[in-house]
Amino acid sequence: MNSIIWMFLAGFIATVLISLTDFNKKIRNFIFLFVPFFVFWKALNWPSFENVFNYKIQNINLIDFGQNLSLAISNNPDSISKIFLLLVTFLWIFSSFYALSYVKKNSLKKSTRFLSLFTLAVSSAVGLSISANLLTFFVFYELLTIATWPLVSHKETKKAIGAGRRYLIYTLSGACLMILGIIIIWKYSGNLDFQQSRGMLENIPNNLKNMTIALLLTGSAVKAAIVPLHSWLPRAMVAPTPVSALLHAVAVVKAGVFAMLIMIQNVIGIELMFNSGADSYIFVFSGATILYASFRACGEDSLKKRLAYSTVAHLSYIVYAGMLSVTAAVVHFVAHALMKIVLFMVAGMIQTETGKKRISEMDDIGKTLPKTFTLFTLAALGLIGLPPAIGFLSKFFLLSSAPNQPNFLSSWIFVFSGLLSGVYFFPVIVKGWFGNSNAEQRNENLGMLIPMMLITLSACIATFFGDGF
Amino acid sequence: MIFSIPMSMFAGAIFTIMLGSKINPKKIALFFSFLNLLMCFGSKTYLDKKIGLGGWSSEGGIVMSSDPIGSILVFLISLLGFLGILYASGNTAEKGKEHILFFSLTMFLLGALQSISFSWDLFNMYVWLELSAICAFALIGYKTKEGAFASFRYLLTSGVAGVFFLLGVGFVYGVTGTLNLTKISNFAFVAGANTTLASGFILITLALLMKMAVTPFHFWLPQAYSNSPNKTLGIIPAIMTKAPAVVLLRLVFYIPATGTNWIINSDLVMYMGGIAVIYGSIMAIRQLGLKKLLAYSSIAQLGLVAIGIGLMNINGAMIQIVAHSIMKFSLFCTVGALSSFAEIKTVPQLQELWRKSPTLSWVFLICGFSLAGIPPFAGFWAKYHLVLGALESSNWVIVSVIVFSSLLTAAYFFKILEKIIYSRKGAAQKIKIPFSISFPISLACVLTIFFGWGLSSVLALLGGRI
Repeated sequence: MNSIIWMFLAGFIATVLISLTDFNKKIRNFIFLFVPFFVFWKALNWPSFENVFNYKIQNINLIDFGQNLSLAISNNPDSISKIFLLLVTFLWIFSSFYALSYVKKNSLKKSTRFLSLFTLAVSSAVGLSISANLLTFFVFYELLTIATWPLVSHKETKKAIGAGRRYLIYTLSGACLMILGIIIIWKYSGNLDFQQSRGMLENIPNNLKNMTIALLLTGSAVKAAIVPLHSWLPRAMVAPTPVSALLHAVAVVKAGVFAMLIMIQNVIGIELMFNSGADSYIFVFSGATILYASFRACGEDSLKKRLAYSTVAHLSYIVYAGMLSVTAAVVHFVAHALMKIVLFMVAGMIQTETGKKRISEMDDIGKTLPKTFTLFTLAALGLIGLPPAIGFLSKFFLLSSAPNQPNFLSSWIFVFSGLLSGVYFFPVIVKGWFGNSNAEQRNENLGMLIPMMLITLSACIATFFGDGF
Repeated sequence: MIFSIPMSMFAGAIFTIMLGSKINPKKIALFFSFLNLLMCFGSKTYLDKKIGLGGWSSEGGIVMSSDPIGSILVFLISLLGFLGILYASGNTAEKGKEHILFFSLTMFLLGALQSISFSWDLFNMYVWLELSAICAFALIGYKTKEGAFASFRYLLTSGVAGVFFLLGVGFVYGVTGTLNLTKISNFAFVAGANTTLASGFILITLALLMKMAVTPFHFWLPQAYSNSPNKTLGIIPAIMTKAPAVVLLRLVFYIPATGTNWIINSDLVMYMGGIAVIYGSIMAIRQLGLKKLLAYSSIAQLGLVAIGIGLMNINGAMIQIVAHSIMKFSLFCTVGALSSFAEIKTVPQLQELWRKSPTLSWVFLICGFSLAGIPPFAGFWAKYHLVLGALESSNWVIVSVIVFSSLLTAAYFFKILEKIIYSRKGAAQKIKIPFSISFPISLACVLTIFFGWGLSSVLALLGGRI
């Protein structure tokens, strides 16, 4: 069997094993921690050279449904897929350590279900990134939705179940639109393969073409939380923090953005986007999202919700950038993932150690948890667009590509939203360091602290390898 | 000879009556339905043979034919019939002799349904439809009070439908002088549009829609399904309404559209199906009783079959029929098992099911995903081909109805799943379920998962003929 299959198969097998080893927590935890390393190692070797030079095996068919429909894995990835895969697997390693410490420290109930579904969700994101055709892509996209649903409602309170319900309504509606678009493509071109995706929409009659584009983009916009479709994300913050950190800052929402980038760049093609007029809709909706979500973030008192709105804004930022320059979009894709996961982890750490959720309670949190809050400051500065973390690099790429566009407004939106990020992050930083209260320093849980430190460190180191993009 | 397949069921029924007091009727029923399944595997029914029975003239004679549509349904009935009898034999606490009537009726019903799928002339279809209806009355009202009332409703509906069907057959015979489908088809092809033939066909279509329980005529179905005894749940809901659907599909495909004025009927069937999909799903969301919920869901799914027939989309309609039968078999048997072994009858009582019985929870999970059209399960492929058919005729209303229906289905299934997965109560006792019940349920569930694998061969079979 081909080794690439193990990349997502390992995750699925681990899911089953974790749910079966409920009786022995040590074995369960070992499997939970071991799988990310294995998958990351496989991801580094993808595409394996023997396969790339052997032109016959470019796609690996898992199941053939006949009629040119199959579940298949690509062996000839484009750069976006590869970066998404590496990002998810890399962060999976750290967040699995963080998640385990979080589970122990908060004595989370039904932890086996939590850990196994966590593994399932991340490995379906892995499957998403290595899929070779739209059908496979859709299958993993749905699997990700379903695996995340019990995680959102994990606390099983009324609020959590309501949030899970809303999450399902939004994402399943999006999926319905997307599959309709996919069926139309299949009917007219008879082919869903990404490799031959260039001509996918050529055979579709003109009156259907615009509708197909609208269906595909709206379908993927739900997970990317573009404004009228965003309201599931802030509510989903009732989930335990590791879920918010890895899934709602990286895997799920980035899967939505990844879907949009794939649709814009591969399936629809950038020329068709401009010819059909879809570009103006993307600009208007994502621009509006950036402004709206930034303003909402300023008004939120709950730290996790503020971070969620900030995520909404930054996701649109990536989509917007995807229309202008792919490099900028991908750099920000990585930068935002690295920093947002740290911010969420800090929020979880603060909640675990002090029980504080609201920003108004966080006077002098920097003195209580100095190391944690230093990391928060670094990551927040990075998102605003200041050194030393990688954030300023993506801002630079974005701004340098913006003036090339006929749409001059775009560069102003970038500048303005950078300022807005400052408006909603600086008060937290200032309050945390210079607030007035008699705080005492507390122990910081190393199991949670070390993953955060390593991610921040890698975000800073990544700055020096900006040329690599 | 293809007629030997339904004959094996009838033989089983007669043996049950004759020897039931000496040998356990469960064993006789299991033996003959397994024999039936083996015969389906052994004989290549799909080779499209036509045979005459009894030496009548071919105008009015009894003709049996095995085309792909019928063969697929016969195979489905045989498989689900065997599993359903296995389920029924596990779901009965009483001892042997009490069941002579039950198992013989069941086998008569299965044989009649198989004969419908094989019959190639209108009057023959009528006879088998009535035989299946009579067996179904008895089974729905089998020794329960509430069942008797539901059965009476079904009796009335089915009686009216039978009269309509017979009247339609009379019209057709009056014009064409034959009952053989091939000859009617030849006549219609040569003679072209004919008002009497068209009105006869409308009557037949209405009768079949009543038996299929498409929306304005659905009123008998929720009562009949939810009040029938638990042991019939493997037989009645899964396959009974599929036979009329296949008869309609066949008439639509073999009789030229011009002769029967099908263009008008197609819109009628299609939009009635569309309304059934929306109505059934919305009613299912409002239900709390598990059997009622599944019954309304069946109305919605049969609406999808009607849409497939109205669109003349043979792939979509057939895949939907097969997929829905398998999924609903699994679900109804699960609900029946829960109600007889754990007294769980409503959605709120499902709490903690995950701990009480993981197997049955998985059935709800997988079949729910499948019904909602989540790939790669069976329901997804049915919806996929139905949407393709609707796109072919660029009917956007129907496309949106199909897509929207999968959202509504998700709504009532995730309501159940929420109850199963989340809970606030503590300890739970395991439910013990005998193998003869858990085996058919899980086999059907596994078939739902691996449906996509066998799909291409089914499509090739259908495509080869039409």
